Amino acid sequence: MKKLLLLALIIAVAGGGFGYYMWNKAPEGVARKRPEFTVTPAALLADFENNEEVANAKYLGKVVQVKGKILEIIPGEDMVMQVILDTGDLMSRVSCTMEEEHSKFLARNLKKDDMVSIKGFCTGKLDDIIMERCVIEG
Amino acid sequence: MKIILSLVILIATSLQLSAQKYFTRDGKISFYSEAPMEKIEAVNNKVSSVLMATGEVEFAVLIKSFHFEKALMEDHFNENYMESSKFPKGSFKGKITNISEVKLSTNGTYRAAVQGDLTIHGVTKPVQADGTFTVSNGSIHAVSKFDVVVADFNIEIPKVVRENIAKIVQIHVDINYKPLVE
Repeated sequence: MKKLLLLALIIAVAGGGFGYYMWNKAPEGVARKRPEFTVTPAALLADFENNEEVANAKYLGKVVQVKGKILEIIPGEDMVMQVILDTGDLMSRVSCTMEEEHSKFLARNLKKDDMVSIKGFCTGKLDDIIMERCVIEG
Repeated sequence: MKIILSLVILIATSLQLSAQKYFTRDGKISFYSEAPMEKIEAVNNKVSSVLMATGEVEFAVLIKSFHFEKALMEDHFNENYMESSKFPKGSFKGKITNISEVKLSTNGTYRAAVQGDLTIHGVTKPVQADGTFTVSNGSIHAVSKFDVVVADFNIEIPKVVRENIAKIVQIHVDINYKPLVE
């Protein structure tokens, strides 16, 4: 009986702990996720310009990897950086907001015109196509 | 002939001046919901906005670009409340109603009254907000705070979490505009 009670207590504590952990969990990054799509900036833009609704259904909230040339690196607030990739159209670029811990590394190692592979969540298109929580691949 | 030419140039430059646009792709909009059980805060740093010298102003945001402290909040916000796959964008189109007092080409700080239509979750409602515009050497820093009633936008909050989510959400807008060179 005592053993059973102890077991119940352990389960309750573990369950509570798990619930608390789930509740407080920070949003997940993409570092360990496989990209669902690997595209060039120009191809991604072409998809959005062709039919935004179809592109939204295809890419929104998905892990997308984009390989292209750096147009600009913008230091942001709190060391969060943005890497802008060239699509060939200066009005509609691919704008990648980098993960914070990645930003410092980037500051030292990347520059304009470098070729990079960037993986992140695609959240849609305003003027630019927006990628969030991005990391450098490879 | 010279007079006509200078007239043409004068008109062209004045037209260009009046067509001055200010622009950003990195504006910040955040919101706060303070309910008895929980304080919720989300930030979006990828707001696109255009401000015309005539006082017309437009904003566009991607709903999935709002970031929360907790993954569950972000999931619920996207899936249950905003249905961001169905309605990926939010927007505002309006104007500064007292533009004659807000001198966008003269350094200074101005109070602006903004009025327009806010579209969230596929629903468009008129909103009014006061803002402060600070003009400094061509750049404009605009800030505003206003309240949005969640129910106005057909956003349903299930009974079980109603204690955790406020009925009125405060929106903070913080934009640094740069002149658009065309």
